[in-house]
Amino acid sequence: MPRFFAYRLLAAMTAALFLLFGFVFVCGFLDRALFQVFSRPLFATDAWGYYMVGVAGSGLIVWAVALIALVRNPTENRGVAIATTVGLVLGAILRLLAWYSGEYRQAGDQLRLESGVFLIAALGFVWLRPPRSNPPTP
Amino acid sequence: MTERTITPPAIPQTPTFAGRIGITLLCIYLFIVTLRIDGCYAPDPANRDELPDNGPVVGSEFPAFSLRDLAGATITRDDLQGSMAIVIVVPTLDWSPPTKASLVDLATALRGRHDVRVAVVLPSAQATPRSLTFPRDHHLPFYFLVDDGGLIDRLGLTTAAPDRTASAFPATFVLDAQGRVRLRDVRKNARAWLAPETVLAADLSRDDTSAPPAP
Repeated sequence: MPRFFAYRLLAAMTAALFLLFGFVFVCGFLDRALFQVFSRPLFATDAWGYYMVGVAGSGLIVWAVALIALVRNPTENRGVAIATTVGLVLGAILRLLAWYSGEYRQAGDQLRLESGVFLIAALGFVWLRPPRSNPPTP
Repeated sequence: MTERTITPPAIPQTPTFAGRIGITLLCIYLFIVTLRIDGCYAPDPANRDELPDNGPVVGSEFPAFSLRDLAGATITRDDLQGSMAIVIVVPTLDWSPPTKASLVDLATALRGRHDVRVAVVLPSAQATPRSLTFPRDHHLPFYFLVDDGGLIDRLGLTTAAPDRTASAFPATFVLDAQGRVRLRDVRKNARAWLAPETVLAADLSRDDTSAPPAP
């Protein structure tokens, strides 16, 4: 079933991306706070910024784990798909506002590109989602 | 004892479908915004002069000034002489996204150029803590001067901010090594700003070879 496969593939790719960024964010925080492994800091921010990066990284890893559960059983984890859709749309709005603010001019059109990708992924989570399965009869 | 069979409740499909339509329309709207948002503001390659009677004309000397930098140092017009200099009058560094974008744009274009001095003149009424956060966060290699000496008034660029405090029309003056105005760009609206390439081209097109080399 191509639609079902596409849905699982989308969820798997999103999970992989969130896991990757979550891992990098947590590593950035650990590098700054404890180990100082890298020759230069991963992010140009202060101690509180690294704390927020670490918190965001933890959240992304949790989100990725929830998406992995969705990949394993798509019909029983619809809530994860709905939450992911809302998160992606919010992420897209945030990026558009960031672009408009002028503060992130150096990022160029990357923010707009990310916003577009987020919106397409959100539409994928909306329309590729399989129908709800009937609850088991006791 | 008889066992009762529980019939699963019927699952309404209509709200789900309406939700899908709603989120789809929102996504389509946001997608259009994503495609069209670059029309909000952008650099303009052509210089404009919407207040030709105000400020120094091209070829004349830029008025003398002595203003306080954010670091507390006093910067004068003479400090900008000896190499190409750019004086930018900004309405604010807080509530104007295009102004912030234009300064980041210029800083990006000037990366590696140590022979250009840039002074950003901010109306004193706009020197709020929120405004001053911008230069500190972005580490822009510019002088940020607070106009408590009436320079913007003398240039005729004073206007009112949306909150009725004193502000300024956005303006860019490119000065040569002697402090003469090479190029001026004065606008009534900050939504378009002079492209950095045009600003730098004003220096490249100079025809006087008698100017001393930049220090």
